[in-house]
Amino acid sequence: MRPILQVRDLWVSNGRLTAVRGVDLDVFPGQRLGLVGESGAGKSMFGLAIMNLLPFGWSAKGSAILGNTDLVTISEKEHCEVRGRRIAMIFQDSLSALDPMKRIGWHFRRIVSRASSDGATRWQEISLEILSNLGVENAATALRKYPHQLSGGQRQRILIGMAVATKSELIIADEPTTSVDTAIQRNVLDTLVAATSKLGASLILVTHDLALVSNYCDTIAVMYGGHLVESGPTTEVLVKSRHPYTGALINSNISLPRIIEQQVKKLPVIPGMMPSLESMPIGCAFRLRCDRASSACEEIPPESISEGRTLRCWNPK
Amino acid sequence: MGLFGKRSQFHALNDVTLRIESGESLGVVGSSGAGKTTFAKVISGQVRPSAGTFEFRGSDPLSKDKVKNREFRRSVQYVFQNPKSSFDPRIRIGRALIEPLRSFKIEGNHDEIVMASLGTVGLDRDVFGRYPHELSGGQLQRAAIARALVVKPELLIADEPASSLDVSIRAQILNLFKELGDRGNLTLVLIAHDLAAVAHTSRKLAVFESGRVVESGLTLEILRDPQSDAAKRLVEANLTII
Repeated sequence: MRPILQVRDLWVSNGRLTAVRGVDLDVFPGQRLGLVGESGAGKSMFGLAIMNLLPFGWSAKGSAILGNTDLVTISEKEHCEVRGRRIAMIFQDSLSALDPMKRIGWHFRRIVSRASSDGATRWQEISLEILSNLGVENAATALRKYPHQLSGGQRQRILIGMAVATKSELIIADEPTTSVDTAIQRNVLDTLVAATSKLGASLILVTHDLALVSNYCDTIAVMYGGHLVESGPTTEVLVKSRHPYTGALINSNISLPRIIEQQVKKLPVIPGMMPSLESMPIGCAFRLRCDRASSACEEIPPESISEGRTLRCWNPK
Repeated sequence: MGLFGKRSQFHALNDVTLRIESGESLGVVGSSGAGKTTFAKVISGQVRPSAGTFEFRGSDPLSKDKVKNREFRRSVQYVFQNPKSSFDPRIRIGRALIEPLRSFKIEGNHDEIVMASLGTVGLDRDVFGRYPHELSGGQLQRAAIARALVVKPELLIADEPASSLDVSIRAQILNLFKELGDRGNLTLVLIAHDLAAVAHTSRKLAVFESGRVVESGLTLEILRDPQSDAAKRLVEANLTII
């Protein structure tokens, strides 16, 4: 199968600092990929680079091929034809992703009339159908409301609806549930996953929560210090992680059943913290926190690929 | 009457009765809008209940007695969700931590008290001279906890203290709360929507729903066998790895 998005040696930097350092990644049709890492790992910058929405002064190098288009080299004008048509993004903060001065309907109208040939006249019907498929109650009323009049969970569903309305082949969701509470989180993700699979779109779920990836994604890619350190089928990677960082991340996940059954005295933690972009160590970015580090780690480990799994480590488990 | 006609009354809390023993750790859980934060505001004296009573060590702390009032404000300290917005960016950490000591006119060597408090939460001494932006989210939340501890409170209330932090740091902060709670001389109220967080730190649990306490008791018992729908929903919503 041909990937719909093929990223090769992607670098994102502003000349002084480098946030993404040579990432290779394939996204296949219908795939749900969980991109995991702590803040500062480069996962959001990766998403923004694909969308050509990098902050001022930052630029991408390498290639990210969607169909026959290289998203890294095309002009902003050409990117306007891709963004919101072939790739859509769902942002973390639903309140700042919507225009506070405009009603929800206005947002939908702009997207639907662009995405469907009869959208200009039938936008209301089409948006109502999308919203009721997403389980939004009183969709007609919701369309007349302003963003601040809706709850966080509802707004997040509106954003999912807007992404679905673009009929994109790839949806990037950047921490879509960090601002909603746990009970709603599940509901929002169920909605997102159902909507993307109905559309036949692929999904990149950017998150720091391994439990979400474990439950909702078929593939996992772990980032640390701008590198993609490990990737592969979710279950395989989580059951048998090979990169020490993946292992530490799995370990530090606070699992309710484990707390109830074993009454842990102390939750396992990863010693130290993620180095900032200014003070990235030479070689493997994780080596200063790693218990398997050796002198070899002072050089950046090469990416090894075997049986659908990639790994960037000198001393894997 | 309000300016636009009769004001409708909204009850953020409704008939809540809870008793927190000294030295106990209580977890408060519920979905957003359940009244968790309002409850925290009542027990920290920021909001006066419109009906019912709130007693701290057997008496009403919100009395007109200035000395008593002051003593209450020292005994109850609060840690907010977002450490970035609970520090003044222009003031060094050390000075920010001395501030409460001055305000409550606590005697002694302030620098030393602050250093000791920074030690308690596992921060280096050199944090004293740093500005908030120079610390990471986890370090800054530790500093916020240290600030709450400098005045030797009896009750520490933390409203979602770990939910804005990264996974690997979240565990560190929760471990710190567990440690503080286990020492026994501090009463802890930890508010969270994440059950796993309170399960680790709190011996007792209160589940809120639409302004009411729908279930309360020992944390482990509730989590093993939740009775109310709200508690069941929270346990169910908790996702695990594989």
